[in-house]
Amino acid sequence: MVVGSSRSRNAAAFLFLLPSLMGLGVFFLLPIGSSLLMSLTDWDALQPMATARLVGVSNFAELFRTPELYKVLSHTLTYMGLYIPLVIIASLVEANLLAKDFRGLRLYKVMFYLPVITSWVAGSLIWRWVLNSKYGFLNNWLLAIGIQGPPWLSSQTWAMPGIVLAAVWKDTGYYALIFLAALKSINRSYYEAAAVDGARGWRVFTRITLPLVSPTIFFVLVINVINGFQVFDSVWVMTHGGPVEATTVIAERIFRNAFTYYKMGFAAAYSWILFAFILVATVVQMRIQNRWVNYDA
Amino acid sequence: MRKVLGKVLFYAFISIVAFLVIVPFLWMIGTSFKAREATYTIPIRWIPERPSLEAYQAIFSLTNVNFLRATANSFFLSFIMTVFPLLSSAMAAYAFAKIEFRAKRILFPLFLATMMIPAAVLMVPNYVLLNTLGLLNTYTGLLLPSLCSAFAIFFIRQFMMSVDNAYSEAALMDGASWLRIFFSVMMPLTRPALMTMGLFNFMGAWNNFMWPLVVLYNRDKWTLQLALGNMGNQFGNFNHYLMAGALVSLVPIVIVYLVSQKYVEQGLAIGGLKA
Amino acid sequence: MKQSRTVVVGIVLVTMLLLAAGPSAVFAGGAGERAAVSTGPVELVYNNFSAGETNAKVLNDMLDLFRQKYPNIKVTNDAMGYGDAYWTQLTTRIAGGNAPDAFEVNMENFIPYVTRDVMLPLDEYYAAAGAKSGIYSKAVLDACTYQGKLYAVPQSFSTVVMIYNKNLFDRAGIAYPTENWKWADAVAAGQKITALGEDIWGTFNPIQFWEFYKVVQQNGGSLLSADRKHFTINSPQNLETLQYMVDRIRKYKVMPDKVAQADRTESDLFVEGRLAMWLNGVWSFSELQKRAPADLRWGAEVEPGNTAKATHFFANVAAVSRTAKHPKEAFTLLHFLASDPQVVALRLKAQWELPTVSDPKLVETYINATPPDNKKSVFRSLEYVVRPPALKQFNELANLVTTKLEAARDGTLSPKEALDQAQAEAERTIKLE
Repeated sequence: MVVGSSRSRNAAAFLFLLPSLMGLGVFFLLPIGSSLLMSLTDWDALQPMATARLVGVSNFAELFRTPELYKVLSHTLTYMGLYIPLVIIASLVEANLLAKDFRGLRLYKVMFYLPVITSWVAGSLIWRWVLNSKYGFLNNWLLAIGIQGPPWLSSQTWAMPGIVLAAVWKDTGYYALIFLAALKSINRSYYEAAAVDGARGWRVFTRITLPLVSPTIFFVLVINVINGFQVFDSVWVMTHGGPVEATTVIAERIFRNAFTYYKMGFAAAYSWILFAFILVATVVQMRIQNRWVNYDA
Repeated sequence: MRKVLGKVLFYAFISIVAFLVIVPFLWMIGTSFKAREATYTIPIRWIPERPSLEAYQAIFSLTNVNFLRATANSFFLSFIMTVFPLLSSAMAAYAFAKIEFRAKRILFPLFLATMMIPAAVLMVPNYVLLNTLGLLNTYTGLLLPSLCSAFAIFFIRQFMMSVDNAYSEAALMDGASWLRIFFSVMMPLTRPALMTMGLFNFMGAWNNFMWPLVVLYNRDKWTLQLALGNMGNQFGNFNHYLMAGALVSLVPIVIVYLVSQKYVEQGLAIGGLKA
Repeated sequence: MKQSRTVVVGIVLVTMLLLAAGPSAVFAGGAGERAAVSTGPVELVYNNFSAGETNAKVLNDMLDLFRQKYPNIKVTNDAMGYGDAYWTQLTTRIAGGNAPDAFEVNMENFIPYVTRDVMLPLDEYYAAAGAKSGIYSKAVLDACTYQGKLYAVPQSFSTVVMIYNKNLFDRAGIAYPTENWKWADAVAAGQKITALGEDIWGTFNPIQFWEFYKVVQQNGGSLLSADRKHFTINSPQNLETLQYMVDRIRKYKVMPDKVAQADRTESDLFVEGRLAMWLNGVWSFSELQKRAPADLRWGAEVEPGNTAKATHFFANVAAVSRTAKHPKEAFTLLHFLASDPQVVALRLKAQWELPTVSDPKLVETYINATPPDNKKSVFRSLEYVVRPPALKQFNELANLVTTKLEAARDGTLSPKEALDQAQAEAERTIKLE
């Protein structure tokens, strides 16, 4: 709102922004600066900062030179490519189911949200059982319909899909909540008009519902890409990057380099490369949103 | 007739989905009562051969970490990490949504950009910073970095933008201060968004592991996640303990979720999430 | 107009100032902040993990004893479980300038830590306490030594032995293992036992770096040359060794592969009576005592070798940080926890690994507490211990070798390819001084 002098508006804005600005300056910009500096050194975590030497961009050069970066990038992208579509579809479906008002709605809502609030420590134990090759729930079920399930977490090909399944189970409830909100905020008149025109079910969904929730889908997609690049907890606790380094992801490499190999400078460089990936992906998404996101109404 | 069939199919479908979601928890419950036997067996054992309460007795009598204390700590910490960041984010969102000021065009993207910074970049420098400020091993130290949350600012701003300006503008022109408008107009109208964000904040704080791990030394200050994680480390093969611990830790959070459900629902319906 | 621009510029300038001065100020601070001289009680922080929850009470009792003897030293017991969390937290503390006064490390991490100079050499304190010889056994003191100096106080140790299920041996009608067994004997017994039924297995020996550097020595090989100047990972003897390790799964079928093991832990398999010979450390004794059903009879024996015997020896040692304010008191604490007779008695009673003092009477007490049977094998193993290579980039070597070994285990690479690739990668990424 443009009320009052610009001076008074600026002053007011500053005051309202103050706590966040302090947080931003002190706990974001400052560490970012330190981290950038760190990435140009060969600082070893256990030795005093003073012993670190500036090595310029050699950390970055080494990252691009060895094949490891490309390997973990492809693993991370595989994870995202499998996880993101699945979780968005699953949570849309769940949201649609919960959008109706029916008896026991409350109970189902709680059940769907339980995985979200379970810690990964417990979640990984559960899923290592579900994905078990011999007696796991999943393989037994597949066997019942005649398919021999793979040895999931022990297989280099199937470990990542296994982790994705666990992650989808865990996170769907969270995004379903967001989509539920979007669904509930669609103006009833659209549906009424559609009913008058004789449209039903699937057509209504694809022609009316989807376009109207597309801004929310976009929001969820952007958040998921940002988080997907940084996936760590699920991978670490389910496979530790195995088997035979088949599920190593970028964040896991950063952690290992920092805390197991003590190469803090190198890990810092790694995390800045990660940032670059995230930045590029987000900018691309922002650019192409006009093609499919519907902002009317 | 058609309607009944539709209803039956609906209930069948949603029940299958719910079952898939819940089945792992059923196994968790069964396992938590297993003591002197293997956890993973072929074929699956849902009901323990020799059921025992050993696991539950054990978690409530841990020496290193008091489970109940850790739960209380988590509640307290999650609460302060919900309320304070919420306030600071709402204030910032208000500025971005409602006040016209020049710096907006630079500052808003700057805040958004921080969402893309990987946590790995910030952890060690922030730790060193807290150490210098003498804030290690304190809840204040844990809280401070979360005061700036771009996600929350973004989210709340969307809601505020969809609130009509007419009343506020009139009040401003009559001499009301921006602060007054904030508290008496914006906050009440965006309560749903605030409650939703509050729930997200709470969940985030509740599940947080890495940051509390490096900041808090005192076992007394430990949160539930740290206690659970530590149990995981100490009890490697005592899966029944882990399951019991995990189950027990679900109870308070489910209660919080149920209680907040009402408000969240209301709010999300009113506000909507449009760009 | 001008105002807002000023505001933004102001913020950016201040931030830049902080950025410029920041890192140096921020990193230089930390350790120096704490108050200097205190005439009051000395405060120590001791980070440790080996007690875990199982022995947490025992540790607290030990600390109580310490408090009674040294009332002017106040100890904060930062005990955690053994796991990633412990190391992440310890590394962050040291990196951030906030190292605990004393901290415990296991063998795996002693090397990376000691080569990075975060521990204080303790020879003078040992001498002052008269502990340089005659109190601790030689093997454990060796474990705390680097380049001729003592860097830690050994708190407890374990050896790795072959734990065996007597019931399964009886069922297969074969004699129990003896100290003279060789690889071939173990394989033969394993085959008879695996034949007992579906999902019953003769042995389990992990295929990873720690196991590998020891087993190669059972066959006359090693990972580094004698002068430690270059790697000998893919030597012919090592190839033979890896082939044998892999053959146990694929050719002799005495050990389950990943699919057959189906994510069950070896502990689960042993407790269920499905595993006859399990190579594991003495630390698992107390866990097995709690989890194994009453009718499971089990014993322990020295691990079989081939042309030579080689066994593992793991010690949990506690070091004093280089930045500790009261090193003498810190040493006193660690020395007390390791060697005070009452403390040692507590440890023995709890069967919390083995005390590091070399008192023959104690050995008797330990051996007589069964199960498992034949506990003297635990001490017999000490005759053949081998040490891991002491390298700064130890963790990186361990990781890359394990990755290749696992590929060989799962069949993705042949043993020759695995070792050749490991050799190449080690030469490329690890610096040998």
